[in-house]
Amino acid sequence: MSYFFQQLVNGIMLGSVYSLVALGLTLIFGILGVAHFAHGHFYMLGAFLVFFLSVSFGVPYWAALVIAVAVFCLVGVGIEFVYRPVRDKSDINAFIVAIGMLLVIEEAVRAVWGTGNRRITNPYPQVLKFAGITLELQRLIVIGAAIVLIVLLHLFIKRTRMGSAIEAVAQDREGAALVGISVNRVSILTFSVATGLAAAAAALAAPLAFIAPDMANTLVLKAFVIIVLGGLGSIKGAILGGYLLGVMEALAIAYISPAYKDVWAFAALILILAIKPNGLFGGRD
Amino acid sequence: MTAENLRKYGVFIAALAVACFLPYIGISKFMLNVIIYAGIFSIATMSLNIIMGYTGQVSLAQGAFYGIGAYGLAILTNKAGLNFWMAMLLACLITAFVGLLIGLLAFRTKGPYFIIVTLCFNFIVYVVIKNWDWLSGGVRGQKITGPELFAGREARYYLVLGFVLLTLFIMWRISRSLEGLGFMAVRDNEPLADALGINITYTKIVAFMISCFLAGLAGCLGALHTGYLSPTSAHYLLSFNFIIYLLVGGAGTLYGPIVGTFTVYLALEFMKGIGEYRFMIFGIILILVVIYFPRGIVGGLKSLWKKVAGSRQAEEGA
Amino acid sequence: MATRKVVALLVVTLMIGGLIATCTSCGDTGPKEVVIGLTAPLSGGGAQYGTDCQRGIEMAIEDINKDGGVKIGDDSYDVKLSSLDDRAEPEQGVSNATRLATDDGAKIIFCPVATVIFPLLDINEKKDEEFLILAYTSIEMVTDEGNELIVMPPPPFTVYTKLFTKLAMQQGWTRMAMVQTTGAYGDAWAKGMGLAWQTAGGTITDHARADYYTETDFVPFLNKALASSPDVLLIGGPSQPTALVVEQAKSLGFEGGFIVMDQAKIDGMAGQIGMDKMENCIGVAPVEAPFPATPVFAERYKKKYNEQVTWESAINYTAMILLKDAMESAKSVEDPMAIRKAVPGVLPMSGDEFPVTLDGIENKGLMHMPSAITMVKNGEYTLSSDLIYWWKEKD
Repeated sequence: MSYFFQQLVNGIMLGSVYSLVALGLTLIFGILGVAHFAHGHFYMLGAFLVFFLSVSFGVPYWAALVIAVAVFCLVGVGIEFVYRPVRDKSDINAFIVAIGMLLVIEEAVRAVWGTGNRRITNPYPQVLKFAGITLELQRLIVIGAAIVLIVLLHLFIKRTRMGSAIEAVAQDREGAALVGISVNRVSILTFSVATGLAAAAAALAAPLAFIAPDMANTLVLKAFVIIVLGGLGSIKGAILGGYLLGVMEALAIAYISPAYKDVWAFAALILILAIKPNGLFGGRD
Repeated sequence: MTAENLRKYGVFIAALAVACFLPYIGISKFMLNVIIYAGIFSIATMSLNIIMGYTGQVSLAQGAFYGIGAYGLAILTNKAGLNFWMAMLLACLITAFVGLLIGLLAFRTKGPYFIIVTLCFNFIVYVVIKNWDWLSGGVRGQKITGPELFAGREARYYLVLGFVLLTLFIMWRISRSLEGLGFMAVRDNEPLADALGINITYTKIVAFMISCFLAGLAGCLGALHTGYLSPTSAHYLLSFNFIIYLLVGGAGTLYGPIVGTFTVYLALEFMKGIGEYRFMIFGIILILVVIYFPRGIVGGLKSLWKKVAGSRQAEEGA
Repeated sequence: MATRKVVALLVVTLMIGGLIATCTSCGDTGPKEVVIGLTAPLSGGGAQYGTDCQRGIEMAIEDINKDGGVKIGDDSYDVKLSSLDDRAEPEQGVSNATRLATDDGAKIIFCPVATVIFPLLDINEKKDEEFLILAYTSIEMVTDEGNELIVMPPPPFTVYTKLFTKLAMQQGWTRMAMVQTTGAYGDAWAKGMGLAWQTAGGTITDHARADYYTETDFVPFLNKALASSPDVLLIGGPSQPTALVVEQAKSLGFEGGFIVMDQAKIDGMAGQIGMDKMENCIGVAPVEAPFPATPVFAERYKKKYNEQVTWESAINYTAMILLKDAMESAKSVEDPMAIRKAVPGVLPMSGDEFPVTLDGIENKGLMHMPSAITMVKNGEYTLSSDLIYWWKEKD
């Protein structure tokens, strides 16, 4: 039984990362209809920035995290400008721009940091044991920090004018434009918030394993699965979907096979879409 | 032959003539090898053109179907001991059948959903091939022995050339057939096509199955040429590559896939000297092409020709 | 829009032009040159491993060229290394080797991954494109296929399985879970180790192999393996990811031992995660322990690359020097068969002079290199200076 709970905690940890990444993606997809396939690569870049700051420059871990998030909020603004020419074109154009972008990022990282795997020193490697569960402190921090970030995002969207503009556009783009919300400004803001979230997730989770130029290739796909299942543009859907997928995966790893750990999410997606073509919670086209 | 026809067929005939004698005009073994791969990939890109260029459904699963064809061939010859050609035909049919199954599921979705579903499918195929040791040999892969006749590189070159021409012919026929018009009607305006009485799902699935069959064929040829097969052959990066080749060449055009594949693949091969950084520059080129030249090389040349011809006519008229 | 288009077109053309220009300029070759090929993982989890092999060869080539190159009669050839990344994938390896053999004209190709070596055996005897494979692996099976163009310097892994089993059993460990790498190497090792372990009365509690070349996080695999409550884990692949496996297993509360397959080196792993985390690891002895000339090499290596020397560099260095001697003895840089046939004549190479000892070579290509094992106890390497002359014990 303790094994089960151990896996449950692992799943929640995984789910925290998934949620943070999927949140950004759902905002972008929901608001702009852009399949931002390079989102995972900004996650990767965030991890490398933290590596750069903390390992090469000796910046304390939390300071590195804050710097990374701030930098990537700015980077998000830049991404928006790359996408702007193809925003209203067909889906595939934005997708190809994303592929172009991720090629550039991946090779740039290889050029700067080499092709091998890197390691960020785990800031909290202490091992906690309670109720039969063994847990590194850093994993607990990931879970806690993700909750804090999600609550902050919620407050931002519900309590600030800028935030509610995002939600309005996500729910109804034409309608929002009609009531005088500037889609361009919301678009920049969205990319900024989303990229910042990805960097935060990376900074939190990266010290737990290797960082590598292709580390986020499956992560971004899973995030897509989550937002499709959760309904495009649905913030609640992305959060719930993220945790659900994390837990499901952890249990499948433990009780079925770790070799197929990345497949379950995709298989579930194909099945569900076959039954409900517009996503589990009936997202829009 | 009129000037119009000369323009239309002249380039093609000249290219064909060069292609026929290519192994004997003193190119290196390595160069020949690269050209064979480019030929194989251009078949795969043509297969993508059917579903993406003509029918307007962006499939990111062509890499998976390439792999299914290749592995189908390997398993049927190695495990079931079938005759090579028989196995090749069967492998392509199996690929088309898998395409049917996936099509039935995936065509319930549209647009970005369809892209993601096909990409997920490709991912599943890759992971399964990588881990199902008994069937696929896992990461160790497996050997493929082709017929004695095609042991030499030159012979394989002509085999691939033959299949490229055959595929091109099929594409040409499709683009002029009633089915082909149906594909394009679905691409251009789905509700209108529906109103005209075209069965949308049926049309998409037919296009997808033809596309998968050809992707499987490319996979078989690729496996035969390399002589060895491992999960790389079903990787989703292949799907990305095919899309890039197609977009650079020009989606929905007859020669676009071949032009795009040869341009991009050969360019990348020759730039191997500067290492992997070439992908960085390649990425920027890709973004610029999609934003400013969405119709690719062939599409761009076509409209350029039209402009030139148009202005000339205007001059003559004046 | 039109001007933008023109600008974009200009940028694209300039970029392509620039690329082609840089490439044509990098293609020039000197007058007399012999190209040595290397196909190895140079990215991902195997990058460090592949790079270590590459550096060993590079250092040897530098020494050879400083010494006047490969001298045959009145001619002398400069040696040049051409390396390609195969990410430890067989198909990529085959395509790399074809490229090295046909484009660079390499007659000798180094390859440090068994999964890639096996398919190379199908193409290295092709007429007019022959090449000699320098197989840096411990899977003896690569020499059992009747291929005449292969040389395998490291000791076969079967030398270790029984010794590791004995050592582990002495610690009272009987339950083993396997979390080794996938591929030909990992599969062969696990099979051999499983046999030795079960013959000695141990049990195998779980299999959860992982691809060390592509995975960046081993917690899922370890979670499954540790659920079967083993005393000892069989781990191994390239050193860098193997070190992460040890670290993550300890962070999940595992307190037993590790049997580390010979591709991963205990000293290399200690360099990654610190000696204190290496407690209870059984594996190949640290590189500086067994041979007298190694510390000298280690110092030169450290000076050049600012990193600890590895077995990968030491063995590949020695192998490259060996091949140079063989080329001179065969009086050919072009004929791989003649070079292969000249190898026995230039042996033995002594550990008093070279980083490792290469004592002899069997007809099938397996070389005789003495080896040593170690177990980390209380932060110290034990047993590591006892050389094992395994071929003398063979029946």
